[in-house]
Amino acid sequence: MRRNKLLSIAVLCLACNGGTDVPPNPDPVEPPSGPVARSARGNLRFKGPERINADFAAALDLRAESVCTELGLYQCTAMVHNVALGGVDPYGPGLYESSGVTASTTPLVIDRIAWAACTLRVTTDLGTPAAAAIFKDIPQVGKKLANPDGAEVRGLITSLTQRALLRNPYRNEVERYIELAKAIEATGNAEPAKAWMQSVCFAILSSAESIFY
Amino acid sequence: MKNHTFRWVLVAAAMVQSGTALAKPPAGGVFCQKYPTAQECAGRQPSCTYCHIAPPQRNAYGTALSQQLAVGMPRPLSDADFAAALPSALGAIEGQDADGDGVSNVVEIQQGTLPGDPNSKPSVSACQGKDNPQYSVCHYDLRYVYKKLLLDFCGASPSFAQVSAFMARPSDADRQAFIDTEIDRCTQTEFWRGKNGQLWKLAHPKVRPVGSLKDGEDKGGVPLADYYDDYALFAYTQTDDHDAREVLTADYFVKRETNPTRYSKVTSLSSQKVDQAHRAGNMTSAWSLTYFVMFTALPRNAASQMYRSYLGLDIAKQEGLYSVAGEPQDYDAKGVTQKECAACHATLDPLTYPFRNYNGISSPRYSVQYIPNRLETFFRDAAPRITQTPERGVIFGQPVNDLREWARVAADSDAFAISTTTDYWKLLIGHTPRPDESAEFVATWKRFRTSHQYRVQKLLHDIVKTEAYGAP
Repeated sequence: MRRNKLLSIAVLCLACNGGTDVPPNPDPVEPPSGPVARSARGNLRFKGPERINADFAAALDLRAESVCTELGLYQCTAMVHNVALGGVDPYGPGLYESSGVTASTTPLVIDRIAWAACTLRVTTDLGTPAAAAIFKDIPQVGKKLANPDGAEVRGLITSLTQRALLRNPYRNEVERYIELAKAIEATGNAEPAKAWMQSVCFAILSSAESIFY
Repeated sequence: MKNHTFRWVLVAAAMVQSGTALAKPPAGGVFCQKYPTAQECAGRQPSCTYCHIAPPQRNAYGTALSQQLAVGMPRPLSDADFAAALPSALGAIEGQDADGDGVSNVVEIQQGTLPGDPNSKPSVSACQGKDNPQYSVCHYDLRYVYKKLLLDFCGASPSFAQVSAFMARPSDADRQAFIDTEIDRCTQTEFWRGKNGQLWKLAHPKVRPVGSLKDGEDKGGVPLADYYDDYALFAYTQTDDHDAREVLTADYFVKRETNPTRYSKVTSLSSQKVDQAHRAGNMTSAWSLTYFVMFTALPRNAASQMYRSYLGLDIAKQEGLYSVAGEPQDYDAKGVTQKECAACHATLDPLTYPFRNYNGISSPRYSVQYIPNRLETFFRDAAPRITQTPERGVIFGQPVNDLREWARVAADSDAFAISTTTDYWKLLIGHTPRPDESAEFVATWKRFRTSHQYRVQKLLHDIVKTEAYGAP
């Protein structure tokens, strides 16, 4: 009876978290053991400027207009790199319809935006830990992760995967990101914990799964 | 001079050698009589490029066909002889594989691929039996649809918690009902209906805005007309319970208000000048008359743009040709009776005549309005027979007395329903209907036209329910 009450309270607390928060850290999912069934239609679509900006903003709890700006002034997706992301520019150059294909510069722009968004989130969270939105409660020793294999690190990987890819991470993904933490430390980076957070965030946001649908 | 003459001799020789020198306008109709269930004939007709690279040059299918067409008869064939001989020639090459892609001509015709293009053939991909932990491959996948529709209609993915909650719903029927609710919610958003939202994106190629000529909000350097009125009418007709055809037939205007965006019907706008009795939706907006009529006596550009953007028929690509006997008359002496021009202008010029009294750019007193006897008043000296240009025209072979009748016939046509459905199919599925999607596409546009009475909101629900949209 008492146990049921506790469970109810836990469920209520979960509901209080709101739409963008994530449930507690579950065990990672086992990856498929062999090749998965392939899509017969193969109709993968690129998200394009507005959707990428909105999804990155939601995943990292950023204001839409702050996800990425050039010179701190001009929005990457709405203005500077809009056409490279498949946007249109009807009123000036008369680009009325999207080309329908990604350009040679599109991957560079995706990297630019993902890196900008991740850097902003990590820097903000580490700068004001009390108000941190995502990169919080990760124990550090100096500038290093205190325990790269710890539950907090695994929880962060799960949280980022859920927020950006709308699923739980596979076990091999978690292990790979933990290995990444050790590899970054081995490079002698002055702030390995921060570099790792940026890198994991970047890897997830710039993945094909994140930018196509 | 000698070089010039020589070039013309070469051109003439090439045309004589090519036999039937030009694509035959009756071809599409005869083809569809022969193959009424072909996908190219579902509410439309194949364009000239079905057999030609560009007339008179033929593709592989056209070449094979020409070798069986009225063998022994002297060239050029009359339209009547051509139409009489075509069915048997089509039948004679049905079993052949003209483009060498491994699929016979008749199978390609029936399945909607191009028998003259080796890169176009029926899909052979099939569902494979393995598992996929993320997607229900080859089946309508509600989880996939939910994530996709929020991106398509709201502009952002759901959260992990929302996806989990969606999957926790008690049944597929409940999930489907929730999807319908979400479509209706998202189509209220700025992402869908607001300035530069998805509906505006659909409208860009129809309106063809030019920022430097913009009047009103976001005024350009040479303000001539306010095309945001055109976007407003377009968006209004595509939302809520409005009739999409009114984008062509409306005798009203639409006012846009912001925060949030709202569109409402009004009887007048200070930026619009055509009187109510002569309004035909966006075809007669101040911007359309400014930009597509401009200074022209006979604005073929206006007619072809409306034909292309609202009916999906691009005359420059030899689509939608319905030659009118005795046309073109060439009232404005542009030389369009030349054989090379007449094949298209026999359709285009009668489409244009109803625009004769719609004025484009002139002095402020006469700009962008309907002016009876416009040609007699402003263009009397443009060509000797210019004032003989009738207001009566022809669209899809059907005579019309004026532009409002033109708009009515256009809006009620299969072409309009197909074009509108294609717009949203491309927006939501990402490409024009593929051969393997054709059956669903045809059923969708037919429902849009019949049971849905041209309501785009219902069309959107239909598209989301197709396998083409929902099977990953």
